[in-house]
Amino acid sequence: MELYELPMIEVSEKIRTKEVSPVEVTQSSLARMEEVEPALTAFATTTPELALEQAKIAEKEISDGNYRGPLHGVPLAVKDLYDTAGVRTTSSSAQRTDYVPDTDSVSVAKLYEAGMVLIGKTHTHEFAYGATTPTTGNPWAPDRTPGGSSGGSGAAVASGVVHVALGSDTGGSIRIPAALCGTVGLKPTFGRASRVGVASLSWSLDHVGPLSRNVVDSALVMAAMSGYDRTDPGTVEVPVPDMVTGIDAGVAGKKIGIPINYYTEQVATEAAQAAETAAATLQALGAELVEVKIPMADHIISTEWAIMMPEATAYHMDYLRNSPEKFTDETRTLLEIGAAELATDYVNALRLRTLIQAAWREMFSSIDVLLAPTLVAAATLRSDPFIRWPDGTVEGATPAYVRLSAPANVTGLPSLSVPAAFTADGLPLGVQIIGKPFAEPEILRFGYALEQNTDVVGRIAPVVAKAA
Amino acid sequence: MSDSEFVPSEAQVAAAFEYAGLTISSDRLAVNYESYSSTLALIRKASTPGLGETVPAVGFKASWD
Repeated sequence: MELYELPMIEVSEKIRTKEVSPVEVTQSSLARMEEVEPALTAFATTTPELALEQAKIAEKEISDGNYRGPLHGVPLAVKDLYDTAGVRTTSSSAQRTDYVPDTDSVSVAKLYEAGMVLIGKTHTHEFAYGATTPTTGNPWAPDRTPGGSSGGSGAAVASGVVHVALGSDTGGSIRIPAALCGTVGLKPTFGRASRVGVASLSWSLDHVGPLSRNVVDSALVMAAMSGYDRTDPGTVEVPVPDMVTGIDAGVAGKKIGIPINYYTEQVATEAAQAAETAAATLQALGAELVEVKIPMADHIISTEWAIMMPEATAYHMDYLRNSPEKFTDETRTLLEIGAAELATDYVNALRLRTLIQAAWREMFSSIDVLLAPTLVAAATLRSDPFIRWPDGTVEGATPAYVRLSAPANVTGLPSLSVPAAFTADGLPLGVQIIGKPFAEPEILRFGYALEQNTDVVGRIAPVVAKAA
Repeated sequence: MSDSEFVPSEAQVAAAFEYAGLTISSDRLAVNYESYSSTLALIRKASTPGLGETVPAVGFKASWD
């Protein structure tokens, strides 16, 4: 068995005990990258020299007795939206082909501090504005989308190149690729972690977080990148909890909300069944299932888009006026729409957000977490990014995938996507667990319970065998 | 016409782009009009009647921390 095939906590333990060195772990990761990258194109930029340099430093620190913790010497892939000092950061856009930041984003700096090793920058749907990441293939079927916008991160984790990759999530961009690629994905509470140094899509809705092979990997990385940052006014000054201790405490006695609307509408049968099976698994472990009606369901999507679109356009206004031809036509069109939105529609969406938050708070008074499918369906073909429903409706992949993930962005609640099943065609499906504000340890406990009691979490896609 | 039924005309969209300082050719406008108008119609649904005294979900802080 190769090092990259072992779970991250086993690799970490081998590094801690000096059974293997970070250099060997990094070499294994880079070798896997070389093997699968031709079929996937998950990376915008690879950094093998930097990775080996960082790994050698980690090796020396550990041999000198300066072990930093379970992330020390572990390879990391970073979405190309995050600034990385001295490393090209393109946001997968021709607008930033030559952009090389001087400083690291706050999250990357924190993970460097924890001892992680950068092996490359992963592709995003251009500037995170879409859910298909056209540059990249899905490791389980390279002719299918890995989702997005953090599609390269999903592909890098699912193919085994890394155990953890960073993503960002404005309408589902961590959880969508996690579900489509069969990885774990954690969107934390709005305000849990700093977005400074990450290209913005929508300041009011953006979150940063990890995609990972196993649940505990996300717990470790999320805790390491969390914390108040006065330069990000969205962050909240609350203590960062230990997200690992107690992760195995089980779910007995917990109340799980099962939606009877919204998350049940226009959902593929296999996706709905995967969520039902996950709920039944948790029920068998002692949790109580409580049916709940999602409040203000008719307003969620209009609120998401009405807030996101003008904020995205405001961020990109200089590019849009001066070099619109450098955007893909899809991104340019979305940015143009944001310029035509009335300010009153934007403010009214922010007022609706206030009402939606209050209504969801009331719903959560009778439950601990909400459980629902992460997505309406499995991965579409890259050449045909549409979902065709039995009633004849045709829905674009991005709006379809965003439908079930956007509520956690509008409400700011933490949401963990965990692999739940595979379709008859062998494509992954996910289930999401949405918690109360700053209850990341609790939703991670649910995810861990699912991981321990199913056989679908932690798989590595064969990729090369599949492509052949 | 109620707010929820609002769909901007091609002329209204063109005027909005001009006011926003964007150069959109008539060909581009015609090709993308369906995307522009359907998305703006979706967004307009956020201006739902009856918001009353509800304040926006924003948090300006006057402190100098």
